[in-house]
Amino acid sequence: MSNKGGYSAIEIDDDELQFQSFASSSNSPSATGNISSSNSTPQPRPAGFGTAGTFDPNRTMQGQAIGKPIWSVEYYSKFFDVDTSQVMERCMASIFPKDNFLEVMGGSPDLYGPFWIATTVIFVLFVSSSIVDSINAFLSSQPYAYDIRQLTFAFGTIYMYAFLVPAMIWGATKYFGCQPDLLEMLALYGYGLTVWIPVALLSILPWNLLRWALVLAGAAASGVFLVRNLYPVLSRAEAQTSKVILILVIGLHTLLALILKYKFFAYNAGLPGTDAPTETPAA
Amino acid sequence: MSNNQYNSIEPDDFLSPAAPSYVEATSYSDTYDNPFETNIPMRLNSPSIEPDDVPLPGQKPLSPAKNSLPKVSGTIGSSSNQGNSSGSASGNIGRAGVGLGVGEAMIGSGIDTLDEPVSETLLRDLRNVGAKLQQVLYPKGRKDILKDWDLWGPLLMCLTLSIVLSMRAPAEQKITVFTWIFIIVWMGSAVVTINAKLLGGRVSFFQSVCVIGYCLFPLVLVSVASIFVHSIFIRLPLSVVAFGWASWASLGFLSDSNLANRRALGVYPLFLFYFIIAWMILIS
Repeated sequence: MSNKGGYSAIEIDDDELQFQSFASSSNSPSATGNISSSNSTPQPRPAGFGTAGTFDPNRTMQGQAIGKPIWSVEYYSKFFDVDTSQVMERCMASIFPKDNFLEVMGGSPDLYGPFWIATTVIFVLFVSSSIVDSINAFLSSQPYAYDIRQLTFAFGTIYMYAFLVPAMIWGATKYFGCQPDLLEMLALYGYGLTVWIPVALLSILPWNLLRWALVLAGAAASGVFLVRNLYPVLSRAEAQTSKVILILVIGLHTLLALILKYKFFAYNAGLPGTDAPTETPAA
Repeated sequence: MSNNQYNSIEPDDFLSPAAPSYVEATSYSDTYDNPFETNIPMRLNSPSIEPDDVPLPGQKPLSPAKNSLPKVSGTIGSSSNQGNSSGSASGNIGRAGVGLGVGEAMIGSGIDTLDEPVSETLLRDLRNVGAKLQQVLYPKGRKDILKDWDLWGPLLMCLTLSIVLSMRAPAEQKITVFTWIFIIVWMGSAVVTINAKLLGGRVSFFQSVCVIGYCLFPLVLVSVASIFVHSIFIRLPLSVVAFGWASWASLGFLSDSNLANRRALGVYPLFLFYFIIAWMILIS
């Protein structure tokens, strides 16, 4: 191959994927970015999914990660090839879903965001619910004992929603021939959890109506974000199946919102001056 | 020749009874002589070995007969060292001299530390742990004292924290709390380290886990203090100070120039880690 520096048009074609061009193309970040993007996705990327990332000069790290064994740490560093500003930008884009998220990601989804946002949500849920419990106990002059089982519950729910559910949806869509990308699914669901951080923090305020409003707003924002970005993938299946999967996605999302509301944002009644929650928390 | 035998021993080899060293030891004589008393001058002349009487940081100067590689030889026959060897074998080998491989470290080690009292063996490690803790508390002086990592310190911190916090927990949750703290400390350190590595930073895994564990020390102190102090108005500033101290100390050791635009990404999990531990101490 004559990829000696500079830009070169590389077709995403199996014959053209030659590893020996790496030594020279590692000096030209743009070519590296191209090769690695075609190496790292198992299927050809559909054109509608933001080819904006092809000549990105920031993607030198992806080139270095190819060829490493799958059990080494270096193999996975291509999924963590993001800067602080990129992560913040992606988080904001998920809370205010205006643009196509896959374009915001520039074609390189990362796993840093999903993992750490999920972990943060877990801890924020635990912290905010323990704050409210302790305020309740303080106001009603009872000794306060925190409930570590909430942490366990949050851990299970959020990690399942952030990792298992995208894997399930990916499997389902793959079965029906939608050609989804697992990384993008994980990134979508992971960044979609960002909205629960401000919702959890604001739900410390004691008014039940406010909490409901916050939960509904949060669920709506992240639901719109999810559906909007999943729709191109889902629409590639037949009409009937894509409708079913869409309903499944929305249903699971609503389930998450309700679980969070009843388990973490519905606190003990008995405070003078605040309205009691209309329903008892689900066990 | 016995020299070559010793030269070629891998670290795992001489933990098993089938290791060549065992065979070599029993072949010396029928009665149980100390097999390592044999003077093998060739080893001592090897240019890659540091003289034994160079005192190491944090250690008192050793007599020439004793040296600083007890764990390597101790694991062969000494049962009192078995418990110590697992966590600190590599650390002690690294301590003996920069760049020594394990095989070479065995050379000239002498088995004199077999004769020392057990208290001396244990105290050596305890003093090492204490020196590192001091380094965490007052981060001036030699920074590279934390470069030879050991996992005893983090284990001590983790156990103390878990025990104290589970003592303070409601009766039916004691086990869960202990488990959670244990998991958070160990998995948290591992995850923070792997995260830094994945983002491109150049940190050694165990060294980073060691540093993160040692920097828990201020939080451990506050947790012990909060057994006796229940007022939120004292606990809150104490926890905040301990959190800041722990984060600042670990940042100092783990600052890495390889994370150019991603420093915040690498540092944030560290803050989250110390925050959640400080929170659990605060509400206990």
